[in-house]
Amino acid sequence: MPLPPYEPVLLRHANQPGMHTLEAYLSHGGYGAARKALAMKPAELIQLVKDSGLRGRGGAGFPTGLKWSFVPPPDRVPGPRYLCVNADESEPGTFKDRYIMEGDPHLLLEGIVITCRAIGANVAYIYIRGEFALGAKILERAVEEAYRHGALGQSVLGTDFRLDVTVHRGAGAYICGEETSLLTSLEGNRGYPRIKPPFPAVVGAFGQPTIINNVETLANVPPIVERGAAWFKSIGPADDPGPKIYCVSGHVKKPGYVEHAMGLPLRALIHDFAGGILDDRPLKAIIPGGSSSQWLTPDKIDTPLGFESLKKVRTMFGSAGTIVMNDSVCVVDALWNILRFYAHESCGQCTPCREGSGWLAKIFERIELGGGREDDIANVLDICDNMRGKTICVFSDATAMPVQSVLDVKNYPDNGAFRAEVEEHIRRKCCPMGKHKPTHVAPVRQHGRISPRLVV
Amino acid sequence: MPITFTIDGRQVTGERGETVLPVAIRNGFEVPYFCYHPGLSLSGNCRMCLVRVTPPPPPPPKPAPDGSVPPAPPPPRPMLVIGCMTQIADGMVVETGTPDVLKARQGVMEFELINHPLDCPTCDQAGECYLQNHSYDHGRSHGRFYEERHMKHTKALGPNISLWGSRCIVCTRCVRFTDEISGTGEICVVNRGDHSVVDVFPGRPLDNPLSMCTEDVCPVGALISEDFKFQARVWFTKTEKTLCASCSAGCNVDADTVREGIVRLKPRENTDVNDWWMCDGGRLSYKSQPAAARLIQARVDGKPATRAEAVREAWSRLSAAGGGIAGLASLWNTNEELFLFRRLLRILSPDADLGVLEQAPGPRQQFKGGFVIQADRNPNRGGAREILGGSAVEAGASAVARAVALGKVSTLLVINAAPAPAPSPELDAALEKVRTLVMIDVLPSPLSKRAHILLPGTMHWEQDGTFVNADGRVQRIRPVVTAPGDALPAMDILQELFNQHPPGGSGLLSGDGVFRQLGADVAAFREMTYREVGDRGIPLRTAAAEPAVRS
Repeated sequence: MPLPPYEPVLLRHANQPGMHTLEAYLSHGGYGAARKALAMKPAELIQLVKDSGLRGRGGAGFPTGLKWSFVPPPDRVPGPRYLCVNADESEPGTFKDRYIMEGDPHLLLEGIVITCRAIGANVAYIYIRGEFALGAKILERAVEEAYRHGALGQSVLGTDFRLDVTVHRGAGAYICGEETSLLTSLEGNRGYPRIKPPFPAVVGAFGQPTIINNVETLANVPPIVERGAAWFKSIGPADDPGPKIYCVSGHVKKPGYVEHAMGLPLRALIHDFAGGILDDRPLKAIIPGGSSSQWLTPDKIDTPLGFESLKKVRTMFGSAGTIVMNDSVCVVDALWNILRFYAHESCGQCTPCREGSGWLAKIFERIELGGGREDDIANVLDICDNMRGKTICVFSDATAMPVQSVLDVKNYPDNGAFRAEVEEHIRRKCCPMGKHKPTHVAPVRQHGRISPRLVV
Repeated sequence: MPITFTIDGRQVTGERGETVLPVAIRNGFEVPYFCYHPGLSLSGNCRMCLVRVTPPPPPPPKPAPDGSVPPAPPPPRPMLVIGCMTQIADGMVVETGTPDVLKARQGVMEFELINHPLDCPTCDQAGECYLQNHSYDHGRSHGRFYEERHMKHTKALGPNISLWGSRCIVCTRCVRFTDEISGTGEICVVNRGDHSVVDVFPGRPLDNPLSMCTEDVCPVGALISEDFKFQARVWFTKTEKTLCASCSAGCNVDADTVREGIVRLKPRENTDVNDWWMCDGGRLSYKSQPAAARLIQARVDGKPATRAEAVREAWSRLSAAGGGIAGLASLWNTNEELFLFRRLLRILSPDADLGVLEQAPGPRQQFKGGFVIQADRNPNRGGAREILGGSAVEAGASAVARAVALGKVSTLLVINAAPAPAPSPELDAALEKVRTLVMIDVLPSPLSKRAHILLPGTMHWEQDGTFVNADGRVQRIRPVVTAPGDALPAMDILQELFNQHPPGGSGLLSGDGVFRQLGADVAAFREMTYREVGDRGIPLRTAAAEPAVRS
């Protein structure tokens, strides 16, 4: 089925050289939406975004307009409001925000101006991932230009609206993309998530009401203001509308990112835009929404990518970072790789996640290296169960979900092939695909105590 | 207005703003926890206090203006939440023993232990370890962890505290303590994931004056007091409730003893005095008076004598002194001793000069959490002021020294429970003129060397009595260990002296007996008894206030 024609919105100009300068942005009618928004009432802006049906692009898919409306009125909670831009794009497989920030930073800044106007914030922080050195540099320059142009500062675009924007670089922790740990980190503390409630919209940065939005979400705001909610709703499925940047990586011929309407089928993403599977080998597994989402088998390739449609096949859209694996991949090896990442990135605050993530990684290492045990699968599923829903943030769930999708055939009946491969590892005490030599040496048990492994 | 809700089917009440865990503990429900501490902020990271909570049902929908009743909202679903952070609400249903709660607890317990070294046989926390207790109650009987444990560093964090990183469960109690109570912030968490462990910053050792409280708040054996390390197994210790006498704050402590020797002092919770804390100086104060140096032999004119002989001799010399008598007590004496001391001297000479010896003040230190180390290093100035009179306490030893220097005093009675105060030069010079110096003392000092009759007394942890702290609170001390040799509490020696008095004393009363006599005599102690003072103490009676309990 041919795809309907699509005209890019978010990356309209991002690929043009020099677009990161204010001059180029203004030549395309830049800051026109901000001007329009500043003439509107905050409540009107919030209603507009609510009407558009825009959902947060960071992973959870929460309706953006509804989130904005949670900011309590000043008579209930006095003091400043903040906008925090979540630019800590750290989910493996995701690299969409990066191109907006590097290619079209003023689009983000314009979205910030409009959002701050809507929620009544006079200060916005862009929390950018530490590794995005180039993005941070470009953003800082863009902020400077915007101040000079008068799009930021004491009088935004000649109105009495005041707005300061600060670019804050993170120190490279995955967890700081979680909204509450982003706030803790922004405040200068160790990036530990906080318990919700209270939600950041009521008690956020520095104890004040704070809205945290993803970069892509904010980049969607100026077009909505410019062209209206009806136009936005006409893009993609009605319950889940709007333009979307998809990332595709792994075993495809042309990994990269592409903008299209919400609801792009996986097949179109992989075959039309990414040029098909690498080496034309058979497809084995798809991770649709970043490394923490549940795996899909090849027969789900016609599923549209969207928050609602992926929920129906028991996975999630997350950050739209699709990872494709062809049949050269060993399931255990791939899971071990993912779990190593999560064991390394767990902040270590809650017990189940701190210990469970490391434990799972060690078990999959052992299975891959030929030390699998018969009770491993049952134990792993029990560990996952003990991890899920028992911690402050959802990192623990994110760690357990891919594992469960591979092993838990009761809840993921279509994924039996994945589990069969893990069982084969355990039965044959080696990696059947030969990814790793069976080098596992069991720790020596003496009097019930495990002594350090003998090095061979 | 109190909030009523149910825990395991029983109705309980709590105050608005309270969370489930404290209410459950107060009502006797067993909810295990590691990171919760009533004196610290909530952290909610150990996940051990998970309970099943069904929020109160939403109010029934109001009928719309057209009379139709909208459909009732669905009843709330039960959730597993942590008790320490969940605010109580009217009509909430809490369950602490459902299968999912027990499984979650068992899971947390297993996670805590997979990388724990299980070195209980050599760990000083064994016997009072949360991990041991909770593992026994909620853990699995066998392990499923077939991997290698990873070890973390073991090092000294400061002069008094060492860290055994592998035992750490990252509950962050110590981190919160240094942030919120001592306000010094030395401890932090380093590394991520299962390599997380507490540590100090390079070059910033944990050396604040409250550092050893981190060992108390540590629920496991990760932070170990250098002083107590490898000294005793806690199940062999005997614990007695008493007070710290290092300053006038009057911190409540538990003294642990093994074979008649104190092995450690630990703060005892009393939110009216010291909350859960005490300073390192006070904690190590039990070591400041080595038993070998103690005065344990009664002496008359430098020659050893039995205590009975010395008491007889002391009485005959004191009663022979006539008007030329004066007395010095110390601000380390209990109220009972000060009361008997005053009564004895008034009997001997109604206008005898009374004075006090005292320890030099130190710096007053107040910490972020409100804990105070008082400048006044004497534990019972408040009691002495009530019993001997404010002017006698203000004057210290100077009035007595002046009277001695003028030659008005030939006989001096000194009772001192303090560790070796140096007499002022004024007093030192005056003492040359004293004909008879009767002394009850604990440690050799320039004063005790001059004593004609020396009776060995006791330290405050060898006797019964009461102190009045800087806030005017009457609190109990208790005998923790037996006094060495001939040493006897000054309270008993003074009563033995009374018994020499021709009409005879009232025999040998217990501390409570003397305290009741004091209560009959001094208004500030009106009708007080040891029973009323209890473990937590009571404020001095003010002129207006009636006694809380009438005996």
